Amino acid sequence: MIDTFWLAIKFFKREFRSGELSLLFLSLVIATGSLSSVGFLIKRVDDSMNSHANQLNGAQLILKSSTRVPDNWLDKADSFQLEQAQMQVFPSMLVVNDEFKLAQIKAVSDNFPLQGELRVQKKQTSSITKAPPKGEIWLDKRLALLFNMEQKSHEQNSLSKETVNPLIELGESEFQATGVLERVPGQSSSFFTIAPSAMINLSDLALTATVQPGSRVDYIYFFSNSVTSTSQSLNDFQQWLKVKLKAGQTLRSGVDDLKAVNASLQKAGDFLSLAAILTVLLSAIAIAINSHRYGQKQYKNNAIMLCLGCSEKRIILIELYKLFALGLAGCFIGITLGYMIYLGLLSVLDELINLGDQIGQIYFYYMPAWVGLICGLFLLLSLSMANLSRLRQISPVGLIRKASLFEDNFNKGSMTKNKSGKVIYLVSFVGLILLSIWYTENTKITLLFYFAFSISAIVLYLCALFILNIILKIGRKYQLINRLSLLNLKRHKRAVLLQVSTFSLIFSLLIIIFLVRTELLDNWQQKFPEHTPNHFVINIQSYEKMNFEQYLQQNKIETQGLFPMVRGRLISLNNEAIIQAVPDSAREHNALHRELNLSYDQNKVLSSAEAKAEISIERSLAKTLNIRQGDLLGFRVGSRQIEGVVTQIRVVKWDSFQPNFYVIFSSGLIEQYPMTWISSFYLAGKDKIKLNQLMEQFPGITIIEVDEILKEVQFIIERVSDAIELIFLFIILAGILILSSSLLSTMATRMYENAVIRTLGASIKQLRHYLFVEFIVVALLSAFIAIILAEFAIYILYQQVFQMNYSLHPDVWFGIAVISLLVICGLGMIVVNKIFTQSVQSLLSQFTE
Amino acid sequence: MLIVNSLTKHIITPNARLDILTDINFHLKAGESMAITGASGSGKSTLLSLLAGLDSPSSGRVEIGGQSLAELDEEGRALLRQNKIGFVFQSFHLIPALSALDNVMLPLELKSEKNAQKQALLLLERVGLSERCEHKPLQLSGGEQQRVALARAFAGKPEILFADEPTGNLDQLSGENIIELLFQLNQEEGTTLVLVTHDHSLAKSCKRHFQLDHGVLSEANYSEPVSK
Ligand SMILES: Nc1ncnc2c1ncn2[C@@H]1O[C@H](COP(=O)(O)OP(=O)(O)O)[C@@H](O)[C@H]1O
Ligand SMILES: [Mg+2]
Repeated sequence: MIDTFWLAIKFFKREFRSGELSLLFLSLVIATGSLSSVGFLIKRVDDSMNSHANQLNGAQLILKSSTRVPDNWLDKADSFQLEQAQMQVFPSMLVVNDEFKLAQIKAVSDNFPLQGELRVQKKQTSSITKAPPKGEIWLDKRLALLFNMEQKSHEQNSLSKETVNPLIELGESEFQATGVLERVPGQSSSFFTIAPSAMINLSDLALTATVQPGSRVDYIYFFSNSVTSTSQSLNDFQQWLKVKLKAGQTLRSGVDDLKAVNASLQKAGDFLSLAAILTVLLSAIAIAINSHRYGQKQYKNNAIMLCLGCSEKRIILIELYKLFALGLAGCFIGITLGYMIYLGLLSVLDELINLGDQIGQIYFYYMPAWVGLICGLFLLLSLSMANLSRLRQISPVGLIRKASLFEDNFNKGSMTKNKSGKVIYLVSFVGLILLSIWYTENTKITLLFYFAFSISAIVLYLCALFILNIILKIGRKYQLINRLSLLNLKRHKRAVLLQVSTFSLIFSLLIIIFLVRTELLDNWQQKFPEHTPNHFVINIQSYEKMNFEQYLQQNKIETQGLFPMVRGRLISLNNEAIIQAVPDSAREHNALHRELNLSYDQNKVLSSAEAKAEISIERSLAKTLNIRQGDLLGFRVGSRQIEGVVTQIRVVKWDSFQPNFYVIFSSGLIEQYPMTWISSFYLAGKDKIKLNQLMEQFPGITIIEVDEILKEVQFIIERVSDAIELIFLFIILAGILILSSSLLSTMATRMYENAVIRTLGASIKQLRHYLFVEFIVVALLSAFIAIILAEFAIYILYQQVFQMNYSLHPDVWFGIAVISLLVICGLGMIVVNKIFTQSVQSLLSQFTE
Repeated sequence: MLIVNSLTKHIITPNARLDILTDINFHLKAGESMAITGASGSGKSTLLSLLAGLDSPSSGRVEIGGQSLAELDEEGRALLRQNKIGFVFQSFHLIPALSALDNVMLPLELKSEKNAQKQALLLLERVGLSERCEHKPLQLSGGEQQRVALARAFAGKPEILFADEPTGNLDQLSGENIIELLFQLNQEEGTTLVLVTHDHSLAKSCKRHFQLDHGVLSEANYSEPVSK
């Protein structure tokens, strides 16, 4: 045992020095290097996205409740050493100089916000701060405008340095209005709560006596990890809390309720998962190709060792030790390199991946390092074991004889004849999938991807074989290619196929990442063009509609128009009570327990009065409730019931800032019911005063301001876009490295042959020509297959994951064909260049198999 | 046909300079046959690969058919090998991925000959391997591989054929067959033969006999060429 170990180490040293292991070692370093650096980057970007979301929310976890929560909940949070802050939100009247205004009062504890920026403007300078001090009140811009506070302070400012803060009455106490709220984290929770807001310190609340038993108050509790708590604490607390929630209490974290941000970040997250899978696959290719080649070489050596009396068990043990040593060394160097690259990128791009407070210090993540190590070791060992397992089957001499057949049989013989090898390949593949799931932390996308990918890969392998045969046939018939090249191709059909499979795999991965990245970024850029609506107006009455439209027009405010809205509750599906009709899993769905916003299509008029109203329903809702085209839906609107047939299932882009509806009727039915109108428009920050005029003219309407959130979203998306770009570039780089190493490796087995051919008098021109033809065929075939593979995978991904529209990408086809030709022919010719520059004799001794 | 002038070859190793061949001189007329004998390690294989232009000498010159090898570029040497030179390696250097037939066809294909397969089959038949056409080199015995290598060397119809111990792996009978084959070629086509051998009967069959001793070449004394 120990002897064997030392023997293995001796062999390892020897082979390492002789350079036999260098390709395998290099591939391991590249594979684990890209795996870990991409992993670190992804983790970092992920953290960054979460951190931005937390800053938006003001904390990592938010509990909203319509009643005060039991004290022991908060004690529990204490015991987890979490940071806490509180906010109580309720509507109340503010009084200034006998002027009454309704406001939404936010009473916050001293340490609000836990995360993110509470930005307040005081005397013309804005600053970032915590909760207002006792006795002070901060008003949002609109309230400040209403009370003319800004102007007053402005005038006073110009008159004297002394500023007299206006006094504002709230309930039974008076507050000094000292600041104007510019940005308040946690806004998102009050997305649809309406009146302009004012903020006071929570400890002043009792004095105002505005909150009486029975008052409508929202209690909002913020929780974040503290310096002393572990990152797991918050999760534990969340789990603990989740089961205790009652009606009227919601728990959220990240960007759960911000659909626009959520959808974008979700996509970004999916992209990162995809990037991770591709990196794993690329790494696997690098390791597989090189360990295959190494196995081939070792095979012969081991056969000789068997003949020399070394037992098979011992040989396998020696190999294992050797590979383990190689794996550890390679992974260690790869991961270290990956970490250094990642750190280098961070230092260059710290602005980009700026995490803000709290986790800014964490630079190292364990997961990518572990995945790198285990992936490297596992793939190296399992793939090499698949080769080693062949040792068992033949007598020592048979082994030596068969040793050279091995290469040819890789695709056919070894896979089918060698049962244990087959099992090991299968194990490797399953292991790869599990590793990918670990790495991506996204089971769905991983499984989906591997499923689509392996199916199409098998089909395409057969395709490649078929096409190659056709090329050979046509080439012979019409003398398209030089005869020798043709023969060369024919003889090395399997080797060529192995190359084509490898290269097309790599290319398709690169195409996928390129296309998804490009379309994702385009998508985002289109999503928030300049003048994206940043204000919503609801509760516009029908009689006000004309005036409202006129007002917008006169004030040159850009709008998307007005949409009718009727509140109604979904009560039946195909004449069955809805609760019974939907799948069990959907019974708790919100849409069944509250009124939905229904709209109707002003342009779509039914042909005949008798016909049933038509309904267009949002896709994800339809999916959850299992509603299909042709289903009859019943709604209760007020006290009456209406019905309609589902004729359209619609994709709603929740990540656009547009009024969206789950259900849209054809016109002619719901107009008769009490209805209000909803609109959205764009207003620049300096024009916000117009909101007050608008409110004065239409006192009944409610304005929802999303401009701050929109800015935040745009900011996040810009960051994320940059990060995606970076990871994309990095993967491309890794891909090119791996492509070159595979080319090097697959060509290395054929160098000897080329040397022999040279001794027979093949001129360099001849040899060049026929290698060139081979490379061209490999390049074009790889490109062709890669394109089909990628288009198919992308089709599935867009449908299932990214919810983007799919269309073919002919420009990319052309591009990849050109790139493939350039890279494979170019690199290939560089790799084989040795054959042309060295003397034949030295080639022969160098490449003797 | 073959003129060698003060040919030397040495190798610089990290420790020392290793002289493999020193000051080799000889002339060989077209159609002549020549045997080189010598102890193992005396430099025979090295000499042969220098003569065939597979390696470049440290100094001196080799002329084949009036053409100095040193004056040719790699391209020219390749063309020369393709059209005028045949070579049988001591370790055969058959291409493992190719069948015996494919191996023999290679030189013909390089010359773009039309009926390569037919010619190759004929050659394999001549070396007695017509039944093993489709077998890969490592499925063949050493002797069989040697015969494939010979067939391959013959395939290009060379003007001069270099063979490194062509009968080294063969039994008496097949050895004699090969020798017969070689001299048949020598006679029918006028092919010049340069053979490295331990086989005395083969050496005697050659018109001229040289001995290599620690890199020094000398023509053997007894010069009573037995012509066949
Ligand atoms: N590339 C090389 N590096 C080191 N030594 C070499 C090299 N080529 C040949 N030699 C040495 O030169 C001597 C002659 O080799 P060779 O010509 O093969 O002898 P032989 O007469 O047995 O065919 C041997 O000692 C061999 O070890
Ligand atoms: Mg020798």
